[in-house]
Amino acid sequence: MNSKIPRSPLGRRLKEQAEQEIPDNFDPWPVMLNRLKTEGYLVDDAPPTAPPVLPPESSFYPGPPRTLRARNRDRDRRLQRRLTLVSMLTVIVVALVLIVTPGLDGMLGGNKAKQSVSSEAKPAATVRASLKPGLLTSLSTPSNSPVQSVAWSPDGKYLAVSYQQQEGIKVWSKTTGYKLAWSNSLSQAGPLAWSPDSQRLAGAAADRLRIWNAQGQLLAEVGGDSQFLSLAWSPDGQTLASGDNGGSLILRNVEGKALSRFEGYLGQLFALAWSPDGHFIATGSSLKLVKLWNPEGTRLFTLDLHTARINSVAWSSGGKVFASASDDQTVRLWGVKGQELGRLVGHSGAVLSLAWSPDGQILASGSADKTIRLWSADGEFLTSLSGQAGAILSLAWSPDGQLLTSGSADGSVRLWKIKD
Amino acid sequence: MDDETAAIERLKRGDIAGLETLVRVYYLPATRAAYLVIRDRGLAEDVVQAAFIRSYEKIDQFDPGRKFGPWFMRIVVNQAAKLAAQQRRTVSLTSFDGDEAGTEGELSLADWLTETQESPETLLDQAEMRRAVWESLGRLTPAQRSVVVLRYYLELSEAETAEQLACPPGTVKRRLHDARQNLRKLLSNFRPARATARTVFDQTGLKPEGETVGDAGTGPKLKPEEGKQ
Repeated sequence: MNSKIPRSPLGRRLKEQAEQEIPDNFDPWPVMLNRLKTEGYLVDDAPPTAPPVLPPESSFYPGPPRTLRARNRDRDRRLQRRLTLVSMLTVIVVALVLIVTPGLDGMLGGNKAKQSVSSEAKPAATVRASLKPGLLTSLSTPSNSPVQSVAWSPDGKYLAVSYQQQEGIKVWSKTTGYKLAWSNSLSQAGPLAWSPDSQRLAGAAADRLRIWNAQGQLLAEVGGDSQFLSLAWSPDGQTLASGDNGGSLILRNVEGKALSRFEGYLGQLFALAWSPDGHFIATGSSLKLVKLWNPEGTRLFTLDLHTARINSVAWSSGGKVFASASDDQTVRLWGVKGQELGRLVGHSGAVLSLAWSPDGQILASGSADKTIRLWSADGEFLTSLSGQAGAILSLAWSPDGQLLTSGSADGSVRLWKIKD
Repeated sequence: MDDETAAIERLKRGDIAGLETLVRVYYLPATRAAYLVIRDRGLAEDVVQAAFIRSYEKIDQFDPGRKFGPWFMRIVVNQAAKLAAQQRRTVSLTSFDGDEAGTEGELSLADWLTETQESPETLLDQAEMRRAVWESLGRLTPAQRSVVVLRYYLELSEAETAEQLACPPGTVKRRLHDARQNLRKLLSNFRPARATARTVFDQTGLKPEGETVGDAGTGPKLKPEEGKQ
């Protein structure tokens, strides 16, 4: 179809343009298969621990056919019956154990923590009913350089984007209809972090850390020991934490100067997040370890349940739960006492990025499988978003919680409208 | 029975695996057409994938006596135009209009895109012309772009274009006319370092205003480049 050469010069220019952007050398069927699986049309290899929850219908994404829906519904009912039975048995066993051995109370901290998470989380069904995901728009660059980081300023005025190979760092202004506010051409641009007052943007490129004001004026520049991999401001905006390729976690002042360095080799620190109350710093590294620290540098917990490197950590807005994403294709939820609260399974590739919605009700995860999954605060799968042609390297919610922004290895940045 | 007919029969029986044959044939050309309308590969693929799903769901409405390609392409192009129009309403990321420029010191996305052009030495090559056409196409409305893609890229007749877009032939004529006028104006502003206006018009087939434009027959109203293919 349309393999012939158009007769008109204009047609030929269009053909050249289209073929340059979409060359012949890829097999579309695996891409389409992935889409069919994501949307619930093919259920043969659905992950056993995450029964498929059908995405909400919209005019753009047609729902699954009735036969499959019916099959899914029957299966869900069977699962529900089994879960109910298992839950009843579990309750009876736990009650008996508590009666017989009160000393085991401490060992059940995980379950208690899960209850506390649930108390601040809306039921998944309620959250799911409020979702109406759809693609709002997409930003792309001529070079298709992978998008390393996306970050909204907390006042919602600016969207900052960093590109790995070319294009540097670009800051788009929402208030002017997403016109480019300022940019630079730094190579190997990496992590970005806005200060809580939206007055400073910290950004790293290779082993240089820079801090700009919101208008793009360079305020400070410092060198590091090795490539910066992660950045996070303290909630009071006075301290900037940086993690690097050499395994150093360093706390810095607003000018980027080092104040203190955490002891020990921590592995390549791909992930770093400060808790909303400022009491904890969570890190994730190439050593497959999630660690929880206090800002004084005391290690509180080392969490070693992941089986591959950690790519991202993110705190919920309530500050009682944080999530970690790993190359092992899972996301785990943790409490501040180091207890595991949940294991989220469903991605078919490394999980590379995480972002909690500002109200703490939705966790978004981005993966090398090129999809974004949305989960309830309790860890229940809500829906998935797909369409970008590369791994989802970064995610960020707009401060009003309306837009989810995803940066991909295909060089695109997408703005997804999640709710009406 | 050819592969396509067999695939459609499988779909009609509810076997979604029948899509594979159709995806292998139509995914690329459909994505390219959608890309020309919507100007974003990711979005284009989204549209095409959704269109395959929709065609599976609506396969009962498909008359096996007809060709699948045009039926499918109608879904794709219409959806792409619809999405492009939505984008235009929501966020004017691709606005090239000077009066929509930001405050002093701010660059529009268009400014930035044009800043990344190649050096003047290579400006006269085909890639440059392709880029100029591409940028100009981006300044048309999604409806005009759809007509241009169907008429000049897919080379449908005006009647076929009207059928594809489910609109009267008169609407297609008007959109084509407006699109050509706009393209001429835009490309007449295009001034590479060593290019003349004549070079530009020669490479696109669009003549300056006031000159005769193509033939008035059934083919596209562009100056043919006979013997150059």
